[in-house]
Amino acid sequence: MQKNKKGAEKIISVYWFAILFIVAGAMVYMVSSFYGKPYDVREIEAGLLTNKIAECLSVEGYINENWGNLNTDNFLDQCGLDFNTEEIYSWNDDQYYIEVNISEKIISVGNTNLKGSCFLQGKNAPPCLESSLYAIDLQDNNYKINILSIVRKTEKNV
Amino acid sequence: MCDQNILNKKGQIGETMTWIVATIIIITILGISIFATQFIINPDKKITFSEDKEKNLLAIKSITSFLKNEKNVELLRNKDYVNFEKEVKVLLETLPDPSVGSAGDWNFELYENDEKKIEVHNYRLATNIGQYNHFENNFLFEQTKLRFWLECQGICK
Repeated sequence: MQKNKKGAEKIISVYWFAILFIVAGAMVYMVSSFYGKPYDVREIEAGLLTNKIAECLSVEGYINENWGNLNTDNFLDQCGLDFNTEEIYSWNDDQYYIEVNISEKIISVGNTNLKGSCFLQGKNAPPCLESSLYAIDLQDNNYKINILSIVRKTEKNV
Repeated sequence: MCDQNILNKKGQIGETMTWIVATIIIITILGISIFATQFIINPDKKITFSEDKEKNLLAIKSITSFLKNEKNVELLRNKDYVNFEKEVKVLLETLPDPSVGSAGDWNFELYENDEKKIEVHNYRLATNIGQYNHFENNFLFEQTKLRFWLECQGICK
């Protein structure tokens, strides 16, 4: 009788381990399913980029006095922007593109190829955020500023 | 002796049945949980808007510029609402379209002593979709109240 009981206990402990692994495996599967895929925050990043550009171009309601001197070469420095990206996925600091149009003066910075992907559909296509801003100068002249922001970073967000 | 063995066996069978039923229940609950997880997960995981004030930064900046424009202030001061309405129309066309995937239109109303004098709508969809008022900004200029607000179909982004 005593020997039988010991045998039964061994079988039950094996069973317990099996159940433990099944439950743990199921939990790992559920958590990885839920958190495994990255969140796609490119649209928000493009929005933040647009806001930064707007803050640079329009200060307290007036257009930046130096907007006439802004160009492709100095725009990032003047607006305190940095297009350097993490050194992963073979990115070569080519994940951003911005285009600013102020009174027919166009300033474009970043990877120009991204602009061509604006008409693409699907989750892999980088979001293109077009916004406009109303500003005035000290002589009360109106300006319409169009801002196009594109963020790629597909590998990290999709 | 024989009866004793039969009794022991019955006990073992009963215990085994208990564990089999328990296993089935555990696996069923886990299966339902896994199924529910699949159902809850949003395959896109796309965040297109955030619940903060900064999302309206461009509109606030534009309205601020508009109201800093001395020409517009002069129109208000002289109660030249016809020309002021024209200027507002230009502004509303400039304000950012918050509709990345949904409809959204900026509107304006001017009240003088609580009497509505101007009403401007910038319907990009050419129809009145107004169901919700968002990002309402009210400005007071002497006895005049300027009201800017956004109408969206669903959530304003």
